[in-house]
Amino acid sequence: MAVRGADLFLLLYASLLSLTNVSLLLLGESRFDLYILLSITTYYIAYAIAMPEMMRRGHIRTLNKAFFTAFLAVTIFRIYVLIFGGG
Amino acid sequence: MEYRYLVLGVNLILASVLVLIYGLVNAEPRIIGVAISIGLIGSVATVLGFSSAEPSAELLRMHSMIVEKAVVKLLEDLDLLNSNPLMVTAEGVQYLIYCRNTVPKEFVPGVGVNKGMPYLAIEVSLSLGDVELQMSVANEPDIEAVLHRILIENYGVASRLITSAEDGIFSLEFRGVAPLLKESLKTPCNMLIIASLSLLNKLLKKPVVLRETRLLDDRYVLKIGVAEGGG
Repeated sequence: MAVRGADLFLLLYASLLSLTNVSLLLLGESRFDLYILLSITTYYIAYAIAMPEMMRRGHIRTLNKAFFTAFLAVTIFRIYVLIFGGG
Repeated sequence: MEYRYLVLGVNLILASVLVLIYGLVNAEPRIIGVAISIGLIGSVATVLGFSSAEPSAELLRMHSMIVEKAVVKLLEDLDLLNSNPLMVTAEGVQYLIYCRNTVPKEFVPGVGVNKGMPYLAIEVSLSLGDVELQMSVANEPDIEAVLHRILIENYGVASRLITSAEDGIFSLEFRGVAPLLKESLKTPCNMLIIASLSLLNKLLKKPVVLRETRLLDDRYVLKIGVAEGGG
């Protein structure tokens, strides 16, 4: 069966995400925000490698913006915790 | 809308919610992290599901409708609208022929006249990929398996295909025809007819003719037989 663009993208994203999560679990990582950050990074890697044509559309751009905002928010939160030791 | 991505996405989100609840109840940040990861891929699949087909597919659908209308008009003018289309192979090239009598011995692509009757011959090229090679190796290919492989697995024309053969007539029953193809099922030159005729012509290595079409709710039935000798 021919693999379409979106199938390839989802397959790649799922594979990379599984690899990332298993690695983090084996390392005993307990900061859940790190899982989110790496999941978003994995999404952008898969997006860059295998972006299907249909992902150029408006609502995918909205999803990209949402993920980027979430990434920024988690990063800012982590920096805040590091500097002020709160959280 | 791509339902398979939508179903996948919604299921992943539901699974992630359950894992998240488990993680929160047991105060396990690692489980929470994995649950959010699953939720993220679920949301991506859901958004992909809400996107309709590839943008170019929509334009191709419109193009196909325009061409179909032109062919139907041409068949109408040639008084061939109720004729049974044939698929023949001549010099390695497949032709879809609309004519009143039996397979014409000589024809040219386009509109022509055979024994005083007009015909319309259209060159057809249907890619079979790796199945072509398997067919050339096998002496008697499994017709049912090849039809299923090409029409359902490769081209995804329908969710199910039921084939049967009786008295030399092959019956192909498509269930759950793809939404993109549904609109054109009523036209005499829809892609299901062309693809089925082309495949059976290649598999049987004989000219084939469409005997009957039936459209019943979610089912589309084609009856195809071997065409009688040239005339």
